[in-house]
Amino acid sequence: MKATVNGTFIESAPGVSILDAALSAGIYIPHLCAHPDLEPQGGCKLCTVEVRRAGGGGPELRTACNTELEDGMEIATRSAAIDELRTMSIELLLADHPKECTGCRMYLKCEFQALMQYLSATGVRMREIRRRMIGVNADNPLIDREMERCICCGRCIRICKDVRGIGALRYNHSEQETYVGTEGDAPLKETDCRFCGACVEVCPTGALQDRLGIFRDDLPRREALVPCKAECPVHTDIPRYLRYAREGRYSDAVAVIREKIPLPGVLGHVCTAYCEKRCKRSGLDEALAVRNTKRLAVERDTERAWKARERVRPDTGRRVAVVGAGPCGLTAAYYLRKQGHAVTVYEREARPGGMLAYGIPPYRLPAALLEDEITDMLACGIELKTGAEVANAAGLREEGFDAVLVAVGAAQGKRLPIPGADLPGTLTALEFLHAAAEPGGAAAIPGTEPGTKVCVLGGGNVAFDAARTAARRGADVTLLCLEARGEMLADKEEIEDGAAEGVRILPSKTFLAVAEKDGRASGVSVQGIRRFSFGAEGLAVEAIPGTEETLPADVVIFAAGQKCALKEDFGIALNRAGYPDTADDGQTSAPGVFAAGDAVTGTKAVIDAVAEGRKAAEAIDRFLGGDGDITETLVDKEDFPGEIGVLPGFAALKRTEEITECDRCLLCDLRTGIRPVLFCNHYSA
Amino acid sequence: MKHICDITGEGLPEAGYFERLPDGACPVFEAGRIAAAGRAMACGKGTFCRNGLAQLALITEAASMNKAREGDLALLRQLCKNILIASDCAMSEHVAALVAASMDLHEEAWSDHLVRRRCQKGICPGFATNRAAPPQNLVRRRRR
Ligand code: SF4
Ligand code: SF4
Repeated sequence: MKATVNGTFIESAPGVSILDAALSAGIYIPHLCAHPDLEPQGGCKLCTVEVRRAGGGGPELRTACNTELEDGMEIATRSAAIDELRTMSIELLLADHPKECTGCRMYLKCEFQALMQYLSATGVRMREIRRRMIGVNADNPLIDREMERCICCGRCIRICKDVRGIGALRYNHSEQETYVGTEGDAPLKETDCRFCGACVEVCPTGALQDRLGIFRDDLPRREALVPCKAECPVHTDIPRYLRYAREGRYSDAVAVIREKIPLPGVLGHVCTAYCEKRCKRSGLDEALAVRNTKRLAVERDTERAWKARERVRPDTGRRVAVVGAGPCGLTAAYYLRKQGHAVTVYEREARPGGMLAYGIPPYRLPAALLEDEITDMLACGIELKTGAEVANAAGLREEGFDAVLVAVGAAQGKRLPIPGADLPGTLTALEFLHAAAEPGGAAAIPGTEPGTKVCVLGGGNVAFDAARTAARRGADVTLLCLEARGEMLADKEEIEDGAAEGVRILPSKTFLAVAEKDGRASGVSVQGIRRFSFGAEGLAVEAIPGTEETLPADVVIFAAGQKCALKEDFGIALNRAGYPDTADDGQTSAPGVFAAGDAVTGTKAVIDAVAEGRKAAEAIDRFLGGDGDITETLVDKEDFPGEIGVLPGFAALKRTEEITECDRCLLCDLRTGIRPVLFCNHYSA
Repeated sequence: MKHICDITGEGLPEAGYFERLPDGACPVFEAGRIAAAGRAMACGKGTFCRNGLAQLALITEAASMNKAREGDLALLRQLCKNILIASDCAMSEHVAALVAASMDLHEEAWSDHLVRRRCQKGICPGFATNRAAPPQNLVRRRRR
């Protein structure tokens, strides 16, 4: 269709509205109830234009949103009649709208405010209307409803009904007042609302807003809208794989995970699940069981269709050495190999996996699963050398490697600075878990026999790994920590499972000394505390006088953190804390030698190590002349239809360990598919 | 413009109502009653229907209550004109046309209420000379 707008020629396909055709041509026509993803309502009249049709006849006023562009149309976007109508439309809307904008969270982001300014309209001529129904449904989870700001444009109603296929919202009437509400004014939780947030997304005013704190405000908005994905260190497309898993497409679900994580099954067992900590559903009831769903998807993926999509780029002729076969080193090796580089991994232990193999007990992470996933990674052509200790990283460069990655982890457990900490019978959690991981190894450690007394000092996940491992071997285990019970650092699950397995938990204790008898540890002297803090002077505790006691112990295990075990003779500069000094790209003082993972950051979660490994691979690839792009598509991205439909009792669905858990997802990503409305300043005319 | 809903305004007085206004009825009061009834029928989708009729109802009510403001007559006429142009539905058009007809056909009565501040028929509640209580609403709200 060919037409003119204010004398400017425009063209569009048949069936396109005047509004869409003009906006696409860069010509602005004011509009408010119209939205690019919604059928037009034609209610606000702000998009009124004057139209002369090809056949002649006088100009007619038409709403541009619901009038199709026709061949030969002459369209004018301004005239005295149009201006009068538009101004009056704004005046009418302002009659029952708060007059000041500065107190609104949408201030300067509000479409209505922008239009008021664009049309220089005020509401002073009209009678002010005080709304009475604004309190209805104001108190509900996740969405702040300030309905005094509602202009009844109906966008929320239309997106809920026409796009999402739900219809939880509607125009309600009370006495002389029209308001946006629910059937019978029922609370949103009791309606079919699926809390997808589409209504908030399309609301042109501050009437519907996300509850503060749901989304991070330090991220670009579109990223923040999917909190689980934003929080995941590798930004796994969680809602997408939850959807595939729910549809029984387990291989596709795993493919989505594998696009970011080469150890999906491992993470399905041991991930810290940062995503769950920020899951939007936790504002409604409980977070989605994301980690568990990942595990289920991997377990049910018999097809492994993603395997056929994995690509290794042609050989570059460049060689990379990776020191350390933990999650960071293996991840980096995997992606570097896929970029076409020849990769050799040096691992000082007999088996690859680092902490996964030697730090996490097998009841939490099955050894066979770890082995299978590492085998999958190595299959792309990585050379692995186990039992191969590297003495000097810079030396590897001299052996002909074009780049080296130091990913040796934080392999040295810390002991507390208290008397007796070095006595025989004391050891770090890492030493204990490492021994336990060796076939028959832990048998050499006194305290692992049934009935002996073990004290574990620390309250994090590693402390629980040690405590539960000892308890499972029949020891009488007491775990002591500084934190109060509700503030312990370990995952809730770990604490509960530990307690269920017989670990006695004594929180709020400070450690005075390891008691000695016959030249070896015989117990731990502790004192109760009210509170503690870490300041510039180190640890400060407020001890409770008279609560000193000594708990008997045959073995005392320190789970007080880990540090990097590298020494200066490793060939790279270390900082005062003993960690490699690195530039922004991870490069150390030795050219071409990079460092990443716990060795740089200190102890972090496995998924952080994977993220570090990915970053290192990108940086090293760029260093070697590559593009640093390690993204891959293992399953084609489908446009998910915006329609989600009704799921009876949605808000009341309880967290489960089944695949049906995916039903509880609020599908936060759908909102990112809603197109934004551009303000007038985005248009050239 | 295109109607955006199909409410017809069933139950409202018919066109020509103000030409044959019953003796003793006040055209201002009647216009207010019709505007209030139309306001209550609005589906909510159109600004000129929903908020336009609300303004017609409030301003005519103010005229009946002796609370009219300067410029109200012109504002009412502009409202009626633009509600008709916006043409959200047959109902809002009908109400605007009736109110406009009341103003056109009973100019004197409107001047009385808005300028001279009196209701010749003694019906409007805002004037001291009123002799009788206003009649009950003839038009009931439509239930939805
Ligand atoms: S709540 Fe927002 S989107 Fe819904 S009708 Fe009101 S202004 Fe429009
Ligand atoms: S509700 Fe679903 S998409 Fe939203 S944060 Fe939770 S898991 Fe992610």
